[in-house]
Amino acid sequence: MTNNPKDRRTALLAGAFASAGVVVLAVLFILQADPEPLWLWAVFAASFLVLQFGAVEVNDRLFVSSAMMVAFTAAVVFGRESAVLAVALMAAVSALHPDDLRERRWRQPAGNFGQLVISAAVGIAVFLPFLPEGPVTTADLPVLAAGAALAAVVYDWVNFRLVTFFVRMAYPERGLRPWSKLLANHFALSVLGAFGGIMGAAYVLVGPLILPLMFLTFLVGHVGFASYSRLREAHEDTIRGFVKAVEALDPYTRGHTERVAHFARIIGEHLQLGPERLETLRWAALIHDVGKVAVPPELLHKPGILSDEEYRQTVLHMQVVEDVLGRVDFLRPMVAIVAGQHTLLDRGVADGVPVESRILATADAFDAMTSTRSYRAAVTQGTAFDQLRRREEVYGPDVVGALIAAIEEEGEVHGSPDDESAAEVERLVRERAIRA
Amino acid sequence: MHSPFIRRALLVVPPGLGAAAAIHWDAGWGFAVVAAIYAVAHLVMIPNPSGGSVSLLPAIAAAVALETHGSPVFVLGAAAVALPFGWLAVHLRHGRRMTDQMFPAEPAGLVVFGSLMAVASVVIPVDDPRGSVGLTAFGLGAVIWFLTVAVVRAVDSDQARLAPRRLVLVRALEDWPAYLALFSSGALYALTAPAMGWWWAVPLAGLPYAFSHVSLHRVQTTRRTYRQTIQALGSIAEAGGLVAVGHAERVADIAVAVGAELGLSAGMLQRLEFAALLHDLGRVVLANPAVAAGSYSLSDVSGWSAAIMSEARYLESVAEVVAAQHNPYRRPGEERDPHLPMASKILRVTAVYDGEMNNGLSPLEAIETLHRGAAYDYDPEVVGALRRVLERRAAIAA
Repeated sequence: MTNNPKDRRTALLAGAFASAGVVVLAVLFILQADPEPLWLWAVFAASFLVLQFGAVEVNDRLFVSSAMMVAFTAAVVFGRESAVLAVALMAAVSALHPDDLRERRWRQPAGNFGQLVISAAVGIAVFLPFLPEGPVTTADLPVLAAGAALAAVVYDWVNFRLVTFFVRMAYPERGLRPWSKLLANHFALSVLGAFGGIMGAAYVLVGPLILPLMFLTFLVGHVGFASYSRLREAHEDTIRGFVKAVEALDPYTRGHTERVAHFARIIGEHLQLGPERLETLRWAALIHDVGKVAVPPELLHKPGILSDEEYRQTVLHMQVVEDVLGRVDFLRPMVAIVAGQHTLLDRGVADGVPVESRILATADAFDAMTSTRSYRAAVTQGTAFDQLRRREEVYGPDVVGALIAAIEEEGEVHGSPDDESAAEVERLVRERAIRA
Repeated sequence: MHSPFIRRALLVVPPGLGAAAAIHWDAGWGFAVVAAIYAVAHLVMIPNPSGGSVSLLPAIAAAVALETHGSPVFVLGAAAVALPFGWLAVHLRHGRRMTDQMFPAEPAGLVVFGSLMAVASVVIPVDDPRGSVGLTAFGLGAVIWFLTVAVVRAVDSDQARLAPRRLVLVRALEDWPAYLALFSSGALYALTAPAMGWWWAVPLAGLPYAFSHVSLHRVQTTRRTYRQTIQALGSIAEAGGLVAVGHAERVADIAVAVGAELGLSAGMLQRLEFAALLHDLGRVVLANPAVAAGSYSLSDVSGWSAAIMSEARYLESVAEVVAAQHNPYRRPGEERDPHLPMASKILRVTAVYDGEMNNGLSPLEAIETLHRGAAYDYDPEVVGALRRVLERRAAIAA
């Protein structure tokens, strides 16, 4: 145990969550009957566990696992008397992720335990009134399906609230991104919940023979989405790796794309772009300099300002690479943003240039000014802001204003700390250039 | 199998037999409805991981087999009557390429499955066709359907010139998730319909189908995009004027054919394809002024390429293939280097082959160059396979 106050806070919080989970389980043990037969519960718990661990990102930050379906199937199968206890126990077991065990972490699984048990208990408790008193008949199906859809939303909402609460309390410094996909998530889960309810009824009506088919259904969904998610990750990883490699060619621009991506994001967020546009913008920022690989080295590394002809040549070379990348369906919108940036710098007027391209150009210019290059030193943040304000007709006053406001809000400082040190670095850079 | 006569016969004879059976057994309206469902089922498709599609046919046949206790009239007869309509519908909707891919592989699978179910219905007591024994027989039939489709597709492959039969078979076997989903859908319907009514059974049975349709569609799109990305990255060095235009694409094409000829697995072929597309990526390093012209060797280029690729975790195995491509396949005193991946040897041979062709040599002369390097550089086994591929493509005389 460390004395770090942050660690202590997390430990306390995890302890509180876990204790709440234990209390909920204890109450359920008193109020509800044990799930019977045990082997059936074990089978459901095992598939819940597998699906919960295997939640896949089906869209940007939209994680879905068919565990929700298993939960509602189990609820119907075990009936009013033991549904809540059965599902809460399944959720409790799934808090033990093998990764946590391997790395001997306890805070996260403890927190998860509480959060999973509570949300399962609340979700299934909401579902209870929809479960028939006696054995399920076909007449109960519409109510079961509707109830499960509603309860799944509650289940997910409680879960989400608890997670946000835990993260906000435990890591206040970590900005929690707005979960903009919450609605889509709710919808997907309510459909899964409804199907889970019908599936449970099918088990009751048809008998255990349907069990293998039920699990095949869960498996099919999981396998397909898991391979999609893997492929998607591989794809993004490949592009990112390549960008990093290209960046490494020029020591002065190392980290440049990541910084531009960061500035572009904060500008975009300040201008309240939607999550999808932000994501496209992020990718555009990551690839905006890839075209440099085709620029002849004597141009790329030329100290000082390029002549008009040299600049034209540079852009031409970069465009060749952008054309190549534009052949990839996925990258086409990003390449369009990058191309818009060139148009903007060529024309020198913001009118008619999409806001994403202007954001990228502004982020790029700001980072160029606030970092030291082979031929000049970084300027101070204030100077960079002034320069950008002076070129507002190029970048657009909305975008420049958003950058300045966002950086000030985040309390970030970039560039040289003050004019003296900027001048000092400038002197050193010049001296080295003369010696070279 | 390539003969249009056989294809035409397939479209005429079975429907005739099916109709005759229906009349003989006095099958009635139920028969017509099932036949119509079969015909329409051809139009609903799941994209397959291998790049093709599979129709709803297996799901319908599965449901019909379980519902009618393996009745040959319903499973086979109705399907046979529906066959020409299904073929026509697919042809009108998706064109020739799709009909070639689906026929005769899918009907062949159906015939084998239907026959097995018919036999099972005789062997298994009437009260248990939907019991555990019946379902086991059904599962077995489903597996055999899937295997039949893969084998028929490989044997029937018109593309044998470009993609060897073995490769077609291996790719077809990758399609198991879609078949699993379809058979699960069919069986779910057959099991739940009697207890819940068809209006509840249909959405429930549609669940595995819907899951796999959505996810496999995404897999297919992402896979296509991934390949496009690799292709684009591979041609960046070309865009910079650092490599001959089209070199990477040509090497990838021929390397995959040679790899399939030598029996590489589907995963390995994919790795080889990516390695071939990216093997000259390292030349972008030449954009760095620190690298003086003429101061580097070919293995430096592979080293750079591999270094760039290993920045992406998922390309590490591809990077290994590229990094090892300039290692000799044998050193003095040894038979072969057992640790050198086959893919690396193939990449080296095919890249040099294409390079020599770019230098103006004929295919035969290029092959001769490779033979001359048989001492350490080019594995004769790979060169032999390359020669066979070229012969099949009629680039050189057999």
